[in-house]
Amino acid sequence: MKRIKVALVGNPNVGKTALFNALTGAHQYVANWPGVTVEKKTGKFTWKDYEIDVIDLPGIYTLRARSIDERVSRDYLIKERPDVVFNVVDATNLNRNLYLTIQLSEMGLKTVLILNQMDQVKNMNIKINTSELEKRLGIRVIETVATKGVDVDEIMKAAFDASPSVKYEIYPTQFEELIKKIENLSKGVLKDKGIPMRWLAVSFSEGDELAKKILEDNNLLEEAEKILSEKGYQNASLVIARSRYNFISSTLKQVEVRPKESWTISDALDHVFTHKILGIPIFVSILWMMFQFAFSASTPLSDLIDLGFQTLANYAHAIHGWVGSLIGDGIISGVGSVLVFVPLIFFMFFAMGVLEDTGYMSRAAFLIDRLMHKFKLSGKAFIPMILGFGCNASAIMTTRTIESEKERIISILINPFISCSARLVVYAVIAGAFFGRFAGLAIFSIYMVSIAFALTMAVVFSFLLKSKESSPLTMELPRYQLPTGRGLWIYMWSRGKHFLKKAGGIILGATVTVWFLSNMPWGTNIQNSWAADIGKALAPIFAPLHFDWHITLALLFGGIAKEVTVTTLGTFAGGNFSMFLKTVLDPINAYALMLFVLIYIPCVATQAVMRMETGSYKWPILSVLWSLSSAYVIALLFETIGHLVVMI
Amino acid sequence: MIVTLRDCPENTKCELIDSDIPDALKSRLMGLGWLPGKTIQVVRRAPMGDPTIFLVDSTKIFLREEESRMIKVKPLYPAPLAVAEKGVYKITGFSAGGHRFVERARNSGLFVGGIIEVISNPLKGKIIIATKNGEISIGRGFSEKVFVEPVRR
Ligand SMILES: Nc1nc2c(ncn2[C@@H]2O[C@H](COP(=O)(O)OP(=O)(O)OP(=O)(O)O)[C@@H](O)[C@H]2O)c(=O)[nH]1
Ligand SMILES: [Mg+2]
Repeated sequence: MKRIKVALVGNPNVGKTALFNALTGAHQYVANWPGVTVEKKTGKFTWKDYEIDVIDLPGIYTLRARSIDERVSRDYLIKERPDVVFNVVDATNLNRNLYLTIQLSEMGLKTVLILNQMDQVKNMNIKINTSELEKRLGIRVIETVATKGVDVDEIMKAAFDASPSVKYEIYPTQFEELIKKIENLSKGVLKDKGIPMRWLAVSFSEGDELAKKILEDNNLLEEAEKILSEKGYQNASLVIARSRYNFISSTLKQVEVRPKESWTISDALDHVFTHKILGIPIFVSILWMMFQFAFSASTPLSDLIDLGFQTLANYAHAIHGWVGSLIGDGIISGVGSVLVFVPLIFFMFFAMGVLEDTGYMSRAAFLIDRLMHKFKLSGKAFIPMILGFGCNASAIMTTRTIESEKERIISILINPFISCSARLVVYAVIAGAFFGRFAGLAIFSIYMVSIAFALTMAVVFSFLLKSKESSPLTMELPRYQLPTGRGLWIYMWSRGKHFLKKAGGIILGATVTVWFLSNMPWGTNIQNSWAADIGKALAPIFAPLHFDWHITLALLFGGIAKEVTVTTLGTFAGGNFSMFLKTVLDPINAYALMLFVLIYIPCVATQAVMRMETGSYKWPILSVLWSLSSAYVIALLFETIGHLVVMI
Repeated sequence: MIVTLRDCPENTKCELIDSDIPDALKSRLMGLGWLPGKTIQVVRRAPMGDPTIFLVDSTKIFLREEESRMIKVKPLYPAPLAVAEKGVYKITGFSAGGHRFVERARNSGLFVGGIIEVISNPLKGKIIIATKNGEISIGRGFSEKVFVEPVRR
């Protein structure tokens, strides 16, 4: 079977990942804001007797890459040279999207133009003459609606009869000659390295650093500079951009008919959502509503699951000996105590899916940017923060879109302080046991603390790292859209699945370990078990916080995954959480414990991602030490003050 | 008059002028279709005064104050009084439609179709204009909502 490499390239948020999913049947992360995909993802499918490797790449506006995600795409195109490029474009915005198409042709890549979002084209009453566009650009053009599935046959046929590469001589004659000169100059030396010559020459004239570096490494820089300065083209970026846009608009004049711009629904929604007075209150209420929705929609389901586990536990306890105890106390009370919250987690992700797919995300970034700025962060740093409410590990990946390296490190370091959905489980158990009617409020207050603490730490870290945060922020606001049920389902499932997997793997493993430790040496009562030994050995450290050895041990294991805090306590509680917790904590200790769990340590998965994204162990280690000590201090402060207040 | 993009209040339309902006910002803007000669529409300023949403072609982006201060533009008339240079103008409309606003404007001698003269506009602080009622100085907030168009005499 023959293998073919196909790369998906295009502007951010045009539907590359949606197309990737349609082609490969994968369920990669699709959302309505620019910069969702930050690393290259590979998928496979077979067509006739070909095996096709599809590579989904982060979105780029131009080939002049600045941030890490953009560099991933550019470097892939230069170094790996895919067999075919599917240049995915938003067909409602050809004028801007074709800019990249021209650059791809300069790279000498075999390109098929995918006009995506054709449903929107129809809605907006835009007429596009595809065959005319095909003729004028000299490449194959295919229309798609990636979210509704695609005609693989049509696309692959186009991929095979795409012309090897096209060349648009669109620059002023004098400049074209200079380009040729530079091309010839470097041909001798660079031809075998597979570096596209026209791209090199044009990008160099534009002032691109990579092109400059390639010339420099091959001792051609001086000569190339001389060629440009002869005719006064040292700074040709404007000439180049203008020629490209002129070519695009003269092409589109023959191809596209657009109705007169009018006030759209998106504009009307923006009028309200970005409103001077209403904007921020709406934003806060949306967050509150998400939270409320997740809780109230999930409660009946959670109760049902809880009932199920109680019944199961009763059966298990009927089995005599250690098997009954392992199943009843270990697995069911332990892992069950976390599984009860599966609906909560899923509904939370559902709500986040709505937020992300409607297009509200970048509006929220707009509203809150000023505030972020005060805390030395940019609006781009806001998106990883919001995503952190789902899962810190995956949120940290999205910091790749931040251009300034220091700001990116800061965003990575503060992300674990954003309370992820795993911690929600811990709060739900504790607040449920102690705060009754006010449980919801107690949890919401923890979220507020979470945001405030993360932002404060941003200031502290930017002071320590001497970050002067300078990357220019240009963020696009996509059109609003109604999320589809299917899209939401895929989003919710693919993120929630992770939680289920964790419950079946690492959480189960940790729980069984805890059960084992609390029954060893064999047959003793729990007070004399190994678990108690470990807990009691560490407990003095936590004595000032009034956390006894049960809590200490739970926190220790919670470092693996936050939910394990709950399963461990569940093993000790043997079915009745609130009764057990009330014997070891008072309400003030309980709230202090919630604060401690919020701050104390990024989970193992998050530490691994931190290491990967910063390329050094330094940052995860710093993060662990920093968060442990601040958690300790804050919990201690809260308890001391809390108890004083109560005494008065 | 050449002003920076930051000086332009909401609802201003202006033309982008070639200017010295850092290469990082410039190449990014060009990729988004921001070329000299293009019309930029100022759509929305954020609640806390920064950043601002701009529309070019059919793409909305937002920029912060620092960046928009580097970008030079020429306001297209009718434009807000806030960016009008010295000269004689006709008032074409108000962007805040409120009854009270129109009333207040009328009391200062400003009404749709009325002729005024801008005597000085420092782009910061008050603008001094001459109306039929004589010379008055008006605040920035107010001047951002009065749209004018130059008249030749
Ligand atoms: N109406 C419509 N929406 C689409 C279509 N294709 C994608 N979308 C939506 O466009 C948004 C962006 O889709 P993605 O596939 O995440 O875009 P992307 O190009 O991978 O974006 P980045 O990874 O950020 O570069 C999502 O909200 C999709 O649901 C389409 O053909 N029609
Ligand atoms: Mg994507």
